[in-house]
Amino acid sequence: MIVNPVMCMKCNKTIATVKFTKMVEGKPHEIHLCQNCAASVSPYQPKMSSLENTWSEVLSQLLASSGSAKPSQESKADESKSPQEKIDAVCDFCGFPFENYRKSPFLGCSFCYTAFEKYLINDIRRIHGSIQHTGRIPMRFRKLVEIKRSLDYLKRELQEAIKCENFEQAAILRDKIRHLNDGKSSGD
Amino acid sequence: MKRNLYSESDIWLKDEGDCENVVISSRIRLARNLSKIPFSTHAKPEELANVERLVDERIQSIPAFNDYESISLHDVSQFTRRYLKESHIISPEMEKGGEHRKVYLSPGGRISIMVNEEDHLRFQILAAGYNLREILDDLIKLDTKLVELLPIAFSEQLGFLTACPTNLGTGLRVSVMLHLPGLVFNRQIEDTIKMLQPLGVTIRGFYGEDSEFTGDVFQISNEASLGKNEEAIVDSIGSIANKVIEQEEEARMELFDKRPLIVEDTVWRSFGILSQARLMDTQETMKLLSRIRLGIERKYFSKMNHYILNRLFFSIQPAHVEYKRQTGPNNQKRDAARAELLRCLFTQSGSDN
Repeated sequence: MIVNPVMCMKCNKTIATVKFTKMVEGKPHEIHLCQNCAASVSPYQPKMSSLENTWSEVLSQLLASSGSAKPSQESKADESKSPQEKIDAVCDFCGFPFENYRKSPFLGCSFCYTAFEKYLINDIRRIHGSIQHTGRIPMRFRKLVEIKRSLDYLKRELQEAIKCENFEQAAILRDKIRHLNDGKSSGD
Repeated sequence: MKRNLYSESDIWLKDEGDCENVVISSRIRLARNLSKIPFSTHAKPEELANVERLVDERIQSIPAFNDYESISLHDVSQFTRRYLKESHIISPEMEKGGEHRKVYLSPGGRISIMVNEEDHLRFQILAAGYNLREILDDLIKLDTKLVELLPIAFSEQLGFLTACPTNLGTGLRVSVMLHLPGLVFNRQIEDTIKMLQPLGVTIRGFYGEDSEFTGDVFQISNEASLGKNEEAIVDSIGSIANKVIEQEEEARMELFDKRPLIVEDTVWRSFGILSQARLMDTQETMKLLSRIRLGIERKYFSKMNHYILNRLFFSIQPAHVEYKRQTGPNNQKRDAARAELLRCLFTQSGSDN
């Protein structure tokens, strides 16, 4: 489900992924366009092949994840261009109703991100082109984040080892994962 | 108030910075929130008070913050808030005032820590000229000191959690304020803006969000704050700013080369008005000061430099003039006082030309 997508102001059929600022009588006006329409109006769009890739990646990610989450309902919503379908979710911690986020750009509290994750994730990806933080980590989270990232890595390695039928390696990895998981729960 | 806030809030502008012919100032801010308390936009008064108390305690426990001025935006006048906004020390949102909203200000105004803006904590460092890496280093040290012992809202995937999803991740917004009269004069500015848009850059005017590009001043800042780390975000805006600086320098060169008389005439006409007019509003003053700033490059005015002009962009703002000449909120009196200040400055600086 895509929350509050900005539709292309030219074709009004596709989600806008490119923003222009046009100067009209000295005042900035924002114009939101999809990749295709942007390419048709701006000489810069088709030329910048690396950017074009980034944008089409973002776009395909958007389309892929919105289609795969809940196939029947979600794709119907996309087809009818009615992302404004009512969502009744409310944050358990602060009581913030998700519908209020449609009216203002703010959420109620930090727990809203967990409560509304599935509704927000595409929006976050659209804004930032990413959904994974890679910057600074506060001291008290550092150990946990390290463990989680190691676990993610080991799990991927384990899948790979199983696929290649390297069961000896898989057993070693499974023990490492178990060991890290134990450390994580005792660390909490 | 312990110190004279009005005379001290823009001392940071006096420092020398790089690329001062094009870059007026640089700024980086971080957004942080305390976990288990609703964001300031939705918090109840007692929750806002709780945020204020926790931050107060933290700041008072650190000797490095001893000489910071603490200003309760609820207690000071609308006039003081406007003055602080004009100095870029508080955001337009904080200018509205409100209970439990506060700003801590370092001596000279270079560092400010806002409490209960849309996020519980927003702190920024300002610097004259182009100075991003130094600001970032200092800001990270500040972040460590200030928030390391506070219960900060953070997620492994989304980073620092913020009231608006546009600030997620690093919570970092970096902006560079550029003076681009060459590109405006040559009518290349629209192409520059078009070039910038797909690069994930937001462009704003002197006064921030939704403002016009008064005085040919453009602020560029990062759109995304999640996915890249702090250094990468700052470096990418830095290299984009460099590209724009290059374009501006080329545009000025072309201007001085191909239309020297037109430029000279425009600059001196502006000087004529600034040194003679009896009523000057902010918009017109900004427009004319922009042309004078362009003339400085050609050394038209021996007693003028970029720093004087940078400070003027701030000090001719309404609350600044109102404070300096005690005009009160009367528009005509203020415009007359502004004209007088400008006449005084420009007749002196132009006398040997």
